[in-house]
Amino acid sequence: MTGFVLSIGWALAAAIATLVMLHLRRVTRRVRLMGWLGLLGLVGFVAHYLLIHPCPTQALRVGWGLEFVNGLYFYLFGFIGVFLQIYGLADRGFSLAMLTDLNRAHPRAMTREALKQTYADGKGLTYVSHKRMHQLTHGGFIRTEGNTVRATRLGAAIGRVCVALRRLYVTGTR
Amino acid sequence: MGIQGLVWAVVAFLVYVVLHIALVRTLRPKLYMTGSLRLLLALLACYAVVAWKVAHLRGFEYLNSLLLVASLWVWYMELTVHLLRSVSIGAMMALAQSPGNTMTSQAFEQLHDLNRLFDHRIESLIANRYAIETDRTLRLTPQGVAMARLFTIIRRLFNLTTYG
Repeated sequence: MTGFVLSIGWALAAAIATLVMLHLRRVTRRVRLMGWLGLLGLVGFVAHYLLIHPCPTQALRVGWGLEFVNGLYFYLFGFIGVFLQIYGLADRGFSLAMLTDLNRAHPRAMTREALKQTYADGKGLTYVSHKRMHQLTHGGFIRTEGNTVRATRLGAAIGRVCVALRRLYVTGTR
Repeated sequence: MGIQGLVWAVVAFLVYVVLHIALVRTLRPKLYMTGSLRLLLALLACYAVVAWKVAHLRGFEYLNSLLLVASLWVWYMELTVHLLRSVSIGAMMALAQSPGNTMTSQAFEQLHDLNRLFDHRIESLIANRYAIETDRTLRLTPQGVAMARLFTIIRRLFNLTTYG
């Protein structure tokens, strides 16, 4: 139980530290900051766990190891699976941006065309397309050469894995 | 956490994945998240009984095992939702399926028709009862207003001023 409680505590501490940092400083590379603070929280969790529960004798090592791995898993789940995912949704969520745009309009109503034009604080739909293309290029997943777009080795590998996984669901366009 | 609780949780999660894939393929649900969540709740209810009566898990190990199934479900949902809806992953999939992993810019943009994606998301918002459309005008439902407010607060918490 100690591993679990420590993991939740350290994930919360890392999340709060991230939120505080985002308010105290003007951060341009947000994901990098989150990565470093997440890693710091992980080191904190491991050190804290080892301090409370030093590695026991051979006979008890399996139970100790399992509790440690369980704590490690719940730390990663809390920080990446919950906190970073909420950040991703708030920052990049396509449908959520539409909802917040509609909510800002008076009287919370708009035609589809108006919503397209005012998407993401008035930037419009093409903004998303350009930004995502830039992120894919910057991340080394695609390359633009003149009039062609080419997937890099990494991008093509990820694409192939995703195509195979997607076939499992055979969902068409969703 | 003992090894028994871990093994039972992983087995329960794998049962969920198999059932989920089978149901998505056959039913093609319109409300993907709602359907997946209902299936999880049904499986968790069954698993809570099985873990208690068959696996004889007790105390913290019991609770931990249930939490493990729920957390694995969250990862799994994140993966499948990205797979089905992400603009960036869709772009990489389109390129991976084209000869030489290459497309002309025009073909790439046509394939990634954001207007079509936008209309699709609007239909999804309406199906999920976050918005209604009358006389080609979209209006938020109370549920939609609540969700929009929640995410406005979350955006403020993260100090987000632009969209990624």
